[in-house]
Amino acid sequence: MIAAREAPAVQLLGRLRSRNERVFYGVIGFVGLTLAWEIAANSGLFRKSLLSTPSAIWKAGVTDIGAGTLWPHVATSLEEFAIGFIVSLAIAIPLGLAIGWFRRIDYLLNGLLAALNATPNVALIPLIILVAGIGFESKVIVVFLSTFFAVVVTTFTGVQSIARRHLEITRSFGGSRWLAFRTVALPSTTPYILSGVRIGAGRALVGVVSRFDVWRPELHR
Amino acid sequence: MRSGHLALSARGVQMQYRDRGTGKTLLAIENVDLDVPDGAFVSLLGPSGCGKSTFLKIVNGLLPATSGEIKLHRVAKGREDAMVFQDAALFPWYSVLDNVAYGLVCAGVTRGEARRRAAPFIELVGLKGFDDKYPYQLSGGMQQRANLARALAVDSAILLMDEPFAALDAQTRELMQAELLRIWNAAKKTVLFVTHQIDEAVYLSDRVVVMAARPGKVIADIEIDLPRPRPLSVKRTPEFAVYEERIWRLIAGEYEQARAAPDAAS
Repeated sequence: MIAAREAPAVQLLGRLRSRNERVFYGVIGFVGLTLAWEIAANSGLFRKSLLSTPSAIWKAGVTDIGAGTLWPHVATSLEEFAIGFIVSLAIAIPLGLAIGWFRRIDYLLNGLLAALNATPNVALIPLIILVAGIGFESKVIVVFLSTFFAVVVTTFTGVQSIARRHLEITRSFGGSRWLAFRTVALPSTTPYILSGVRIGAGRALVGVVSRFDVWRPELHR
Repeated sequence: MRSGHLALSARGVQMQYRDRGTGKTLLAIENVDLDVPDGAFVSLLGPSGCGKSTFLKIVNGLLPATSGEIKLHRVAKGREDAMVFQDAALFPWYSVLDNVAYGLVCAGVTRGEARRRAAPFIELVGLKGFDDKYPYQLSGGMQQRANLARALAVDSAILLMDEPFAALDAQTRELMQAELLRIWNAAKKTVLFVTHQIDEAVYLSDRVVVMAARPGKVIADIEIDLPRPRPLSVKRTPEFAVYEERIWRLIAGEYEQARAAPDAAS
């Protein structure tokens, strides 16, 4: 009966761990890093003016949320993200499928897309500012571009990776190419599309918080 | 069962490839003639590289022959031919029922109707109760049963089987051979069966067509006069051994010749 003598807190931890190991250890990792950071800052390991502390960030966050100054910014960012992301997917997925499925569309666009994909988004930002300014539209364009190529390339790769023998089945039984597209190409490409969407979402989040205000003259007076 | 019609008639089938590296033309199949009567079980037997699978794909329409003529007996409904693939080649995103129904879907049958018509063939191949399972939940032998059911369901005049049991373990393979004969007898199909295994060809077939490699050509056409139905114990009889020995000598002789003159064929 050793377990019965353990402190209630330890018993609780044991129960939580056995319920969901993934969440349990995930929380430990997060809390552990936060504590280590706080302790390191307070012990004078680095200057707080260079790298803030978790407790200071928490306080600032509470103040901002309380004052209602955070939500409008979050809402704007979310809107920019949603529009850019959805429009991007709506064009990139069909385009990636078309390039993968039709040889001639591949020949037509592949070199062009490879060149554009190799262009860093940062290099395009001045151009985007010239065309769309520094407001809502330009952020949407950055989100769009951040997502677009990741999704086109992974979707295209997915179509290229369809097992030949699977396509042979449809042909062997006299099915049309359109049937092969719907019943073979789409299901086997779906995992690739989803991973493209995931990568694209990550890049788009970076895009939406990118600092256009570097070019805002009122900040440089 | 034997109506005297030919389910398949091939004349002078040739297949040439152009080697991309050297630019040379390679003869994969040289002048193959083959007749398969309605209801017969005929095997194409030969070493790898003899073009037996290529010939099957030509009959199926997956590959165009360089020259020659293929005639398939026309049937009122359904396809003339249906392929049973080497690796079961089932779609991992479809259940057993949808995989078996897929051949019918390719023929333009609606999905619901295709499922309804596929169901009895799942039972025929011994997969009753597995309709909703997915390919990864099946053993290799069961996947091949589904592969066979898909080809049976389209009700073709001839069944083309491309080494369907090659990847199975020895015991499962024997069991599937016996099962295939049971199903062949029940479904009254014509079968053209490709294999590199002598005992498999002799056990299953009415006729074994022996092919040699480089270039692929027919070197013998042997009638297998063993009584049917054939239990697996037939394989342990002296008559069976005589057929095996005879075919083995033919193949070994070709092999010796090819070794003596490696470049003669090209």
